[in-house]
Parts: sequence; structure tokens; C-alpha cells
Amino acid sequence: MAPTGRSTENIVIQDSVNWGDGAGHSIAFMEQSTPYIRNVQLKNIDILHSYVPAVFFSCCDLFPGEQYNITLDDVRVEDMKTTEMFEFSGRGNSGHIRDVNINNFSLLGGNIAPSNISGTDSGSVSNITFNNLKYLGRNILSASEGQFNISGNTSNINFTSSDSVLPTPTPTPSSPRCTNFWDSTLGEQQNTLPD
Amino acid sequence: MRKNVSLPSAALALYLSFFAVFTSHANASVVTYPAPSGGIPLSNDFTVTADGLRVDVYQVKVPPQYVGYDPCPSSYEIASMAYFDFSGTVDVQITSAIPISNVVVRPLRYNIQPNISGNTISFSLSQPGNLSIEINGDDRHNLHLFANPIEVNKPSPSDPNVIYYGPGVHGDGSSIGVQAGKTVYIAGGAIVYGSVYAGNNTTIRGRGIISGGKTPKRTCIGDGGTVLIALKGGTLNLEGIIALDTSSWTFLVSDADNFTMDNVKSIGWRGNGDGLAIISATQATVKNIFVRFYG
Repeated sequence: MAPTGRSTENIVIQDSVNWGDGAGHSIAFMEQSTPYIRNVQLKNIDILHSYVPAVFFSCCDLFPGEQYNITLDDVRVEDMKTTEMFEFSGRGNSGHIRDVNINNFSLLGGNIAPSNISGTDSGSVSNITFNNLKYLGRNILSASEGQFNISGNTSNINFTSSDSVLPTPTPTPSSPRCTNFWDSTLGEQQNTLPD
Repeated sequence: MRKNVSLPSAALALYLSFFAVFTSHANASVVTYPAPSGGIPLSNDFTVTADGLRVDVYQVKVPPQYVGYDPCPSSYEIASMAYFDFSGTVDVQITSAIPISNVVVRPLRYNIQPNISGNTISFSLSQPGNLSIEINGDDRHNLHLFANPIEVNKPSPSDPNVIYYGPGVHGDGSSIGVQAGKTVYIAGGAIVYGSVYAGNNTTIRGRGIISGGKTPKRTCIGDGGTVLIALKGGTLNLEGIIALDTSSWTFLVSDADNFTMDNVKSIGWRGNGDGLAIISATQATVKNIFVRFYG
């Protein structure tokens, strides 16, 4: 396909069921080919079994951009099978991950898996709030309680309870253009979509 | 919770009688769709009824038991899948071919505690839902049960803007191009083998199945398969269908002004079979979907 230059934004995904069976990630913000991924809300999501990391942010594997103003509300992992819960990986070409609020995220069964948050000079991770994070009925109120490994260019990683005030989202800047790399993944359909 | 749909008119009920089995009583209406012959084999693992009507149960391929990361599994297991439409409250009975020691109905938030009698479990549903019924802790041979809302505003087979797949088996695995402004309708009881790539302002909807089962996968990743449903541009809508056995990504959305997706279900097992990928969109609303994927 031709580059779109368009962001991925104003996305709501709700009341849905997910089952990651062995490769990939249950909820992923990655392989970005757009200027921004922003203003995204997932709410009331059930992950029945997760043989993959539950939540994965990696900005931006191949093209610059940012990921921000992202909210996950009421996500339940019913059966965690693998070895990582969250990953925020701010690697790549000047892609930053910021202003992510995760509210009422519950692990209901399976493994308590560790999580990783890491940033680089060109890919920082900041303003990440876990509000009412709960593993097998236990409130997680610190990185150590939740087995979070936090390293590199990261800042303001918070673990709060429901009475806390959430950060104010950052205003949305205008979008630059960037290119698209999906030509290599679309198989026979590339460049053939009808108008 | 979604609002229940009112009973179809008598005329609609007659129309459905050609393609589906319809019943109603004081509190509910149920529509079932007989499986077409010559398509996906039926399962012997479960029998299902909804308000006493038989619901055909298909075999569906799922990945093998997880033993560690494998980008492209070379084998699969056979699980089961059944679907019907209803409004009101429906009584569901499921009989397992194997003895039941315990059963879990997921998502757990529905809090469905079925009655168990011998090899049969039963429960009621009062709202649509996409469920996994797991016997004796087995998530490789589960029953995917898709309890849809009653379909409304179905298109006419004679509408020139509709590519209409009625009940039966269609396609040979090749790609189907959909021009701007068109609707692809896959009726309940239909199986379409192929992939769809659709342009501006298109809709894909129905209750039937689209399958990548006849689409080859040459290599594990990259161009090794074909996106099952690729949508690009303008206003794009996906509603109600079931997607099986994709050879690559399942749903790909790009360059959308407004994308909506409601009550779409997918089950995949082949590698690089990402579920829903929204690549670029100015606005999207996705709800009530079920995605079992092997990314």
C-alpha cells in the first residue's frame, strides 16, 4: 500500500474478548508506521488465555512517532500462561511513549509474570500510571510488588489506588508525515486495493 | 449490555425459513443456520441446542499446546465452534463427547455457572456473547459458542451494491476485490473460502464464515500468506461475521476516516496471524469482538 501519512488515533475498543495463543501480544502498540498512535481507549476487555505478553508497547520499530494518551480500563487476564505481563520498550527512532493510564487491570488466574519498562535517549517512556493494578487479588502499589523492572530513560512511573487523581492528558500536537512499511507484510494484496 | 432486538416480522420469518431455522416463544426468538455440506467438517466433540433447536458445531483449527515460542506452528488441534442468533432469553444445552469433571465458561465476567447432568451442561443467556466452554480444563478442544443478536436490516440478494453470499460453500481461496461503496454480505450458513480486500466506504457483514483454509501459506512471515480481510479508506464497517484459519493477518484497517467493527469473531492458528491491526485511522469504534489469534 502507499504510505498513508495518517495517524492512528481516536480509537475505542470495548466489550471484547481476546485470546493470544503463542506468538505476538494480546494488546499491542507496535510496528508503527504512522506519525502517532494517540487517543486510544480499550475498556472492558477479557483476555481468556494469554500465552503471550499481555500488554506490549514498543515505539517505534521502524519509523518515528509517538504513542500517547492511551487508556486501558477494566482489563482482566483470566489465565496468564507466559512470562511477561507488561512491556514498555521505548526503543527505535525517536519514538516516545507517554501518558498511558491503566485502570483496573486484574490478573485473575495463571502465572504472576514480571514486567519490563525501559527507555532510551530516542525512545523515552514517561507518565505511566497503573491505577488499581491487581494480581490474583492482591493490590500492586509499587514496582517491586508487581515485579516490574524499570530501566533507562523512564520517568514518572506510578502505581496508585482508586482514590488517586489521574494525570491530565497532554494536548495533541499536529501530525507530521511519515512513510509506511507494510508492503513487506501484505502478501499478494499489496498495491492492489481498489479505490 | 446490548438492547435485545425485537422479533422479526412474519414475512421475515418466512424468508428465513429458506435458509435458517427460526423459532420463537413468549420470551425469546432463536435463529440457527444449518451448516452447508461440502464445507468445514462438523465436530463430534459437542452437540448444542438453543431453545431445543439443533445448532451445528464446526471443527475449527487452533494452535497446538504451547511448549515455547514458535513463530509458525506446523500442526494444529481441532476445537469446536457453533453460532446462532437470539433475542430475549435462550436456554443452551451442550453435550460433551467426553465425561465432564468440570467446566468453565469464559469470559468469567458473565458468571455463567452451568448445570451439569452427566455429559450435558445447560445454562441460559439473556444477552449476546462470545463464549469459550472449556471441559476439564482443556483449552485446545474447547467449544467457541457465538451467541449473536438477531440480525436486522439484512440486504437484499438482488441489491446491485451487494456482493451476496447466501447459505452454501463459496470460493476457492482466491482474493475478492470489493469496489468502493459496496457491501459484502455473508449470510448465516455460508462459508466463503478466500480473502477480501475492500476499498473506500465498504461494509462486510452477515453471520456466516470467511475462511483462509484454502489460502496457502508459503513462508512463515513476510509475504507468506494473505491478509484475510484488508480494508482501506473512508468509512469502513465490519459486522457479525466469523473469520477462520487466516493465512496471515486477520483484519487489517488502514487509512480509514471512520472504522466500525461489531460482533466479529475470529479464530486462527497459523503464524503471523495477527488479529485486529488498525494501521491508520482517524476514528475507530470496535466492540463485542472475539479474537483468538496466533500473531
